[in-house]
This record gives sequence, C-alpha cells and structure tokens, in this order.
Amino acid sequence: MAKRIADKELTDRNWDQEDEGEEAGTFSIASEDVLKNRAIKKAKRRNPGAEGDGGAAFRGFKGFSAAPSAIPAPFSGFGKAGSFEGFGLTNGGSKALYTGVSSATVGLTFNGPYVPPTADITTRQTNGSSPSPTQSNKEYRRQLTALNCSVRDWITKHVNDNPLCDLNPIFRDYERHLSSIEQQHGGGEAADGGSETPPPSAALFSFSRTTSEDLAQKVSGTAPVASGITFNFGQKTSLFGAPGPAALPPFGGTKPDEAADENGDEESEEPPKPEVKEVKEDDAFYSKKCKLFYKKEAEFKEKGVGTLHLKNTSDGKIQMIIRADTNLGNILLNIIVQHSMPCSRVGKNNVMVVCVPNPPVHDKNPSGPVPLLIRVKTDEDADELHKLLEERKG
Amino acid sequence: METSTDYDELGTRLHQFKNKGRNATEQTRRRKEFHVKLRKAKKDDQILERRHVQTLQEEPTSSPQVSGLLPQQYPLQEILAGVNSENREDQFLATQAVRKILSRDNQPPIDRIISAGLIQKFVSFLGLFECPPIQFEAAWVLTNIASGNPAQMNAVVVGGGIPGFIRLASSSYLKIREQAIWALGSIAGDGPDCRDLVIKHGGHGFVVALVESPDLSTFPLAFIRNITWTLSNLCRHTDRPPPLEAVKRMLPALVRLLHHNDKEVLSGACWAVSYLTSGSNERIEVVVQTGLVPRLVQLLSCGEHSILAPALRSLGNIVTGTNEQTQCVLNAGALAVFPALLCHRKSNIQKEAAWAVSNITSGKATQIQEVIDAGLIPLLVQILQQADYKTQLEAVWAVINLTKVGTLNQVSYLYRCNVLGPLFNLLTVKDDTIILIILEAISNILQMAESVGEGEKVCLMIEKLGDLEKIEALQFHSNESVYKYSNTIIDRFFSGQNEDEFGIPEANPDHCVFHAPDNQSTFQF
Repeated sequence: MAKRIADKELTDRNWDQEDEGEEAGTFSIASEDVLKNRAIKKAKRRNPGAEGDGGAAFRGFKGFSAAPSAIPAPFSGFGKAGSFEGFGLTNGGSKALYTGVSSATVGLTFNGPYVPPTADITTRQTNGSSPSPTQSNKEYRRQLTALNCSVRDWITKHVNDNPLCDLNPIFRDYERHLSSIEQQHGGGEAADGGSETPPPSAALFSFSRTTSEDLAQKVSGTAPVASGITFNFGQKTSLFGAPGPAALPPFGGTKPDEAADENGDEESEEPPKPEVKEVKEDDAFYSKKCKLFYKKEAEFKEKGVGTLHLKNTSDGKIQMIIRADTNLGNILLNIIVQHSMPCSRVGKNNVMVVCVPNPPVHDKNPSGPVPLLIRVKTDEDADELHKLLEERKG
Repeated sequence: METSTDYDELGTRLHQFKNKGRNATEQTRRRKEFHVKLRKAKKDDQILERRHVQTLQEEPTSSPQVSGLLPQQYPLQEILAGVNSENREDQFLATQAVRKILSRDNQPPIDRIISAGLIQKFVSFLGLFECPPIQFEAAWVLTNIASGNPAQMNAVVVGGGIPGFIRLASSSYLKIREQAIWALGSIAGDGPDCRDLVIKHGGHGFVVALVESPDLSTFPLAFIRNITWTLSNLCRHTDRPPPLEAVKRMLPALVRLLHHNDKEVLSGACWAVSYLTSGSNERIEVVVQTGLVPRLVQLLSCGEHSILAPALRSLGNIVTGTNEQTQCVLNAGALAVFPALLCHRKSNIQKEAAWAVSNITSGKATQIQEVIDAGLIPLLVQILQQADYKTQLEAVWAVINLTKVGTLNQVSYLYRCNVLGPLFNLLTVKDDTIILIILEAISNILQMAESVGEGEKVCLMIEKLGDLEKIEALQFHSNESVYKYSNTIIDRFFSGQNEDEFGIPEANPDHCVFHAPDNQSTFQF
C-alpha cells in the first residue's frame, strides 16, 4: 500500500500562507558524453504520414539532427547549438517519417485518381467549412444508407446467432445515430456537424451500451456506396476505445462496472473478443491481411499493416489497394497492376512486386519504381496472391 | 459583573488579615489608603474586563489613575518590600504594581523582575486561596513573564509555575481559572518539552474538566475559545506527539468542542484533531474510534476556510492510515464534498483534496470505485490539464495509484476520461521522480489494454495525440532511469515486436524467418 503522508505540517500559524509556488520547470538533458553511449530508439508509427491531433507543439520538428533553434519549446533547454551535430540519430527512416508531421492538413491528401470517401468526409470536417446543400444531401443519403445496411446486417447476424436476443438496445442506438445524421446532414443544414475535436475518422460511428466509442474500426464495407462508413451496434467489448470528446463528465458518469464486464454481454454468452473481421471491399475479389514494405537503399522499410484488396477495373485491369488497419484507414498502396509489373515469390510468405508506388514512398523520386514486399500470413496465402497477380495482370 | 462581587469579597477578606497585630490608628490609615487604591485598581480592571482575555497584557498607560503606580511610585525596593511582607494587602499591591509595569507595551522589564528573584514569590502567591486577588495578580504577572522569550518562559517553568497554575483549577473564580488556562496554553505551545511537562503535572486534566463541566455553556465565549486554544496546544508538535494516554483523555473533550457552534472554537478543535491524526496508524485509530469522522466531514461544508483547512487536513491524515480507517472517511460521505474541493478557488485546498484522493486510490479497488462514482476522475484530469503545479503532482499520484490498484474496468475508465493527453503534457517537468511515475502510469495503462488485446488502440491514441515524440525525447534525459524507462516503453509498445504477427522486419526478407504467434486462428489486435 503506497500511502503518502503530508509533506509539511499544517498548523494554525502557517495555514493561511500561500505556498511559494513550486515551478514545474523543464527537465535537463544528459551531457553529450552520456548521450554518445546511449542507444536511442525510434517509436514505430502506425500511421506514417498522419499527424496526431496534439502534434501542434512538434510541428516542424524534424528529428534530433535539426539545429536546436528549430525545436520548439519546451525543448529549448536542449543546450548549445553544437551539441547535436552529427548525432547519427537517423535510422534512415526518421526523416521520412517526420515529413508527415509537417504536412499542413490533418487527414489524407492523395494525388491520383482515387479519392476515398473517408478523405472527403475528413477534409470536410476538419476544414470547418459548411458543406453546400447538395453535398450535404448526398452525404445524408450516403450516411443513412450506411446506417440502414449496418443495422440490417447486425440484426441478421445476431438473430441468426441467437434468435432470443433483445434488440431494444439496437433500436435505441439506431435512433441516436439517425438523429445525429439528421443533425449533421439532414435537410441541407449548413452547420458542419461533428464534435469539437473530431478525429479524422469521425465518420465512423460506434454503438455501445456503455457509450464508449470505439473508433478503431475496420472498414466493414457493408454500406454499398460509402466504404468508409461503418456502424457498429451492440455492446462494445472495447474498453480502450477512443476517449470521449470532453473530459467532463465522461459518459454522464457511467460507472465502469456498467461498462463491459469481462462476461457481461447480455446479447451473447461469449466472452468479449476484440474485433475480428476480414475486411470486405464490396467489389474486391480477393482480400488478405498483409504487411507492406518498401525498399529504401539497402533495406526494406515497413509501410504498414493492412488489408490488400484486388479489384477489377472497368477496363479489364486489376487494381491493388492496400488499406491500413487503423481507424484512419489510410491507403498504403493503390495501383493498377500493369502487365509489365515484375511479381515474384520470395521467401516463405512474401510476394515482391516492383512498381511506381502510389502514394509515393520517396520524397526525392516519386515517379521512380520501387520494389515493394508484401508479406502475408502463410506460404499458401503468398502462393495464392502471387498466382492471382500473375494470372490477372493481363 | 462578577468582578465587582469578587472585589468586594476580596476587600472584606483582606480586611480580616490586615487587622492582625496592628494598632488602631495605623489600621485606620492603612484601611483608607487601601480602599482608595482598591477603588482605583477596581476601576482600572473594569476597563480591562471588557476586553478579550488575551489582551490582558495591554493596558492604557495614559489613564491618570494608573500613573500613580508606575515605577517612579514603586521602585524595585518597595516592590520587594511589599512582596516580602507578611501583610496581604502589601503583597497584593506590590504584585499588582508589577503586573501593571509588565503590562506596558514597550519593553517590560521582565528580566529585572526575574533577576530580583521574584518568580518564586509569585508562584507561591498562586497558592493563596484565601486571597484570590493576589492569586489573580500573580497569575497575570507570571503569564506576562512566560510570554516573553524562551529563557523567560523557562524561568517560570523552573520556578514551578506549571503546578502552580494547575492548582488554580480549583479556584471558584472563573477569571482566575481562565488566567491559568491561558498561561498553561501559552507554556504548552512553546514546544513538546513544555507541553509534556504540563501534561505530566496533569494540566490536560484541568482543561478536560472544564470542557466536561456541565457549566460549559454558561462560560463566556472568550473563555471557551481560550480553553480550545490551550487544548490544541496540548496536542501540537506532531514531530514528538503527546503521550498516548493523555491523548485518549483529551479526545472526548475535543469531540465535545467539535460540536460547538462558534467558528473559532471549531477551528481550534479541528486544528487539534489535525495534529492528533498526523501520526502513526495507532494514533489515527484512537481518533477514529471516537466517532468524530462524520462531524469532520460535516465541517468540510461549513464554508469557513479557517475550519475547512484543518478539517480537510485531518481527513487527509486519516486516509494515510489503514484501509479500514480510510473506509471510515468514505463511509461518512466525504467524497460527496470533493467535487467542490477539487475545484476550490484556493489552490492549497485543491492540493490537499487531491492528496487525499491519491491516498484513497492507493487503497482498494472498491475504494477506487467510490472515487469514480463520486465523479472525481474528470476533475483530476482537469487538474492535470490546468492547476497549480503542486496540485497537479497530487493528481499524478492519484492517477498512478489507480493504475496500480484498479481493476481493468477502472483503468480503462480512467483512460476513457482522457487522462493520457494531460499526463503526457507533464512529461517535461524538472522533477525526475514525477517523470518516472508518469511513465509508469502510462506503461500500466498500456499493459492493461494489451491484456485484453486493445494495446494497439492505446498506442494509436498516443500517436494521434502527438505524444510519441515526448517519450522519444525522454531518452535524452539526464537521469539514467528516465532514459531506460522511456527506452523500454518504446521497445515494448512501439516497436511492433509483440503485436505484430508478421514478425520483425528483416533487411533481407529472403532469409527471414516467420515468427508465428501461438494461436493462428484469430488475428489479435
């Protein structure tokens, strides 16, 4: 038990004195000698190219090889300008990763023909500009469609699993979401909906008995048109979903005991499981979870984990899309598979292709071809993917 | 007024003594002189009666009646002669003269009185129950001396002042008992040695008897306040607390005073409780056993800062005790008052409240639940975002304790209250310990999330908040432990090793080995 007694005695003689304000101050940096011997690690970013909401303080922070003057407060205590020169902190990847930080917009800007609907919704919300009535209506229809399809699918699934389940919570959730959509987009309303601090994927609604929102949803693709919109129903077993928009009060003071208990699911007897779904793009004929690497200089660098989809295009080619398995759902790769594209089976469970990557992976040479390594779970999966690509690339 | 009765009586008694062994003329002269002076003295004292007893030392020196009693009229020799005479009247006059001299504001000649060897005499006068006026004046003189510097107080103590004052408990004159209480409070407040000496002589019994007397409510308010003040001084000096037996004796009286309605009395009583609870769990237990905790909680809402501060400190002390002692405070409904306290305009109160919460969240999960149910977590998060730094530190402790003791649901609730962002913002502070604690709290949250397969979400949130840079930056911290810890956290949660079923990326994937997780049937996220 870690009880801490009072730091100073309080008496009728000193109680009314204001404490000398203790300052928070800033921590001190180790000396260069010490730093030389330290192994400094880089944290893996799950969203390369995406900027965090709170990243404002570190905007323009180009990594530790920058001159200290470029480093914003509170790191102004970093010391003399010379101390970080030649600090070989670049693992090669750091600079590339940090360029994402300085991009101006939160969210996803893509060049190229394909503009995923999530980006649409995102930029609309973060721009804070009022959508025009036509756009709004379109959005309203899209959202409503997505909502109805989601509820249809959810009910189907759960009633199939357990015909005795109580659907009332679902209808309550439906009501809530419907009014939310109507507020945001219904009747051509100009107001830009959304919460004060919308995460870029605010288009994803989540339903929860506990009102805890789980924004880390994979794109379910049940909505026919807007693949970026997902509605989830029922008790969320997610305890660590994204926090609510405001600190006060969270969820009307809901007690966590009313939240997902370990086994407290009314709808089903199963213990809570995290979301496990294969992502379905509606018109993809092949989807598989994978990890994407790209070659830079002598080594392969990770681009991200996501789901690879193969789709038919109108002109008979196939399109390969790899979408990240994050709440942002950003695109890791989006290319048309050309006939000439080299495609080989590598190692136990990899397929390697060479193409001009979209989105680009190199600042310096965005239009040059790059070897990409696609790693899947098993060797059979790799065989299958390789075969498909070879057969269908034309 | 009591005084006039007292003095008339006193006058009569003095008469009786005076007449022993004197001739008639002499008696007449002395009688007249005495009455003149007594009338003057009485008038002076009537002026003083109207003031609070604690201002007994002050005296208008410009009053014409008093001028006759200044040193010019009574040089030291005369005083000595008067004090040493057998004549009660002379003794009285001399003592009173000294009292008035010492009551001057500017530089009372205390040391002269001491060096003249007068203390012993005055102490003996305290025992003259047949002559209360002398007792009263002597008590006043000694009080004035004891209110001087430590050496002067010591002279009174060494001269037997303490038992002398304590004996005045049996005086039938309220004013005399009040004077004695005041003197004893002054002596006890000087330090643990004097305090324990007063206790040893039974001074605390004197005080307790007054509080427990059925006449308490008839006492003048000033007297009750004095009693409270003396009692609190008998509890003071927590570095060397008073003997436990004495504490047990004083507690019931304290409880009685806690139910009084005067602000000063309540404040003094709460201070006493705050001193008594600032000790070992055994001492806390003795206090809690009296059942005064609910009254303390009641007093939290009284709106008087002078009462709130010691009441809150008392409760804060109690929750540093055992889980059971902490539970007493919770059972009394304290937490219901905490939302107001955590947002109080005085940062000291916020800090004390946050400190108390930090000790409650270090107890049991059920107690954490009570903190949650009282709606306190969002307020802690608010404090972490914006508050006096010292208050923020307490909130940090409250958070980390929760992550250590709390259940999965409780920790996830904490997370959903947006605690991470403000916690991360505090990672720049100078204090190494705080940084390590915050890192530990963050690590605990991540581990909890991981244990239910939701570590990715939390990692993502941290990334989204832009806080990965903060952890990375800590690797440059001058403190080796901070470097190691931040390094470990990156390694453990942000290097993809544990969460990625695709294995560690290899430079040359042709030769990689697939590190398959044990369970390949479901994807773990």
